[in-house]
Amino acid sequence: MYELYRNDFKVKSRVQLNRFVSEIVSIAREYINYLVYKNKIYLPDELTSYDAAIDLVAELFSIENNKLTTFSYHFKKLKPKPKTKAEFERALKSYVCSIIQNNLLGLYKIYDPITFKIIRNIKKAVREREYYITSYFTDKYIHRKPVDFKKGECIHRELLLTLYLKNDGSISANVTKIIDALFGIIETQKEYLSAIALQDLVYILKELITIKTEDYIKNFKSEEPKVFYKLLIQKLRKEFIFKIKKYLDKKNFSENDCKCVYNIIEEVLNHYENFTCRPSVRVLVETHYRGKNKNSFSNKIEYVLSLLNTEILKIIEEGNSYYAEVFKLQTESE
Amino acid sequence: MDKNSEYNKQMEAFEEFLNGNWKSEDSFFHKKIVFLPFQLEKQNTQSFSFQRLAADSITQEKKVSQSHFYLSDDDDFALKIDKRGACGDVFLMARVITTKYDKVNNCILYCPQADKYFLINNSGEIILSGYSEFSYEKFSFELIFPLNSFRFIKESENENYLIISRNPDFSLTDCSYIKDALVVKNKKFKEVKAAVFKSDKYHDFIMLSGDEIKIPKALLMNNFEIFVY
Repeated sequence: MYELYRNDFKVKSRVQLNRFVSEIVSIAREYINYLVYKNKIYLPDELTSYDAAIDLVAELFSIENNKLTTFSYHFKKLKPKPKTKAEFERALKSYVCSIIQNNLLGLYKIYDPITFKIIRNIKKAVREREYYITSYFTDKYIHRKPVDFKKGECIHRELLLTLYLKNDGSISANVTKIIDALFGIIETQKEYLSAIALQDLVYILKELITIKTEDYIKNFKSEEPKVFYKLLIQKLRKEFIFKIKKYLDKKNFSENDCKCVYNIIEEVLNHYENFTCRPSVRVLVETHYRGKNKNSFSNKIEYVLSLLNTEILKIIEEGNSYYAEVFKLQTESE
Repeated sequence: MDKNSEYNKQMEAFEEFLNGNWKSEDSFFHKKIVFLPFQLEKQNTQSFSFQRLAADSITQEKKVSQSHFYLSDDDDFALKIDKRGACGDVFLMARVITTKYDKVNNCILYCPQADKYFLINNSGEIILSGYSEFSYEKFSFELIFPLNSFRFIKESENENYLIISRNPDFSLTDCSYIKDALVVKNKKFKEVKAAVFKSDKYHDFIMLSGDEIKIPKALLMNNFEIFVY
């Protein structure tokens, strides 16, 4: 790879090109796995990190006159220029990671339309309100005034969600208004930075849209939508347990931890079925988990609940065109 | 600067990843799984997860006249072989039972006694052709994971393929059209036992000879994959 860089990405042979492409895909796959490990993204069942990596970096390999033009252009304008093989490899990895971050939305569009719609609405809100976006290695941060990220940390997403639900009994159907309200909360919390990580915002919005949709269904005069919703939740109960079992097996959860996860899912689904708000992840973990590693376990529960909310929103949207209209109300910005 | 600052957390993650201190586990390159016939009387029933087998065996179809189970050492994988059909039209259908890995359909099944390899189709089924007359219930089987795979993506403007090797250290050293085939080479192919061609339309073993694999032109598509075992 270093040889290619030194030759301004002029490809000598197909063998050299194929080797380079394979290395780039390998870096991309590893970065996607890292984002999953850090709870920043999750991959739908039908998509492997390898296939996602190929999709996300495909655009990089355009060749003109035997030159990999995208890489050549990037490294020409890069300052300071890598002078050693090690420096080049770091710069290359960093570049591939930034490409993945920028292209993730395209992946959601195909494989995870719920998350795609939510991020699209967040972007629309950011444009409308002229919010700032600061990109770091694993996430993008949204803020409405300049923030020094060296001076503190962001509020935890579950805490922000709890504060929002306490402050605001009625949830707006408009994503921009929800984001405004969230900023209203974090800007009063002096111990935290006035910024929200994009993936935390997605997590919070999924939960709020689920609650809002439930709320909407609950307030129908007719019983039919309520019965329909309860049936959907019952169907989901079986399917989701099977789906999550695969995840728990892959992550080598102990038998006790698996039981905890199942109990928490059961409790959350009971709340959803009865149109009541679920307790925070902290409370759920306190109630069901007896192990030592509460922080790590809480992260896993957040991942599971984010998946659960995605599944709920998905089945409502797919379930029936009438209910899809109900759902549309919540995901489309006004 | 605050040690727990968002900036610090991001920089730590950046360094951890860029220095290669974090590595994901790639289940694609798993060591082979050996299945031995399951004998109920020899099993310690307390350590054996009967639920899995029970759950699967109740899904038996009416056409299945006999079923045999085979287990891996660690009890993470099981193999179920059903005798199907009737009166001269009998065949064996095997299925790997596991929740451990999603992608066992990239694997192949090997029977050491017969020295024969079998494909796993996209539904996870394995047809064991010509086996119904043997005492297959005493045979052992091996689930073999790929050594590597090569994704071929055709470039829009010419006949060339971009070839992505799952393991970059095992990339192809040559790729050229010879007569009616695309011939790809690597010295490591000499150690390879089997090669499989996989596209949307076709899935089968493919010719492996010395350090090269020949892919007939008739099979070439815009996007396909070769797995080597």
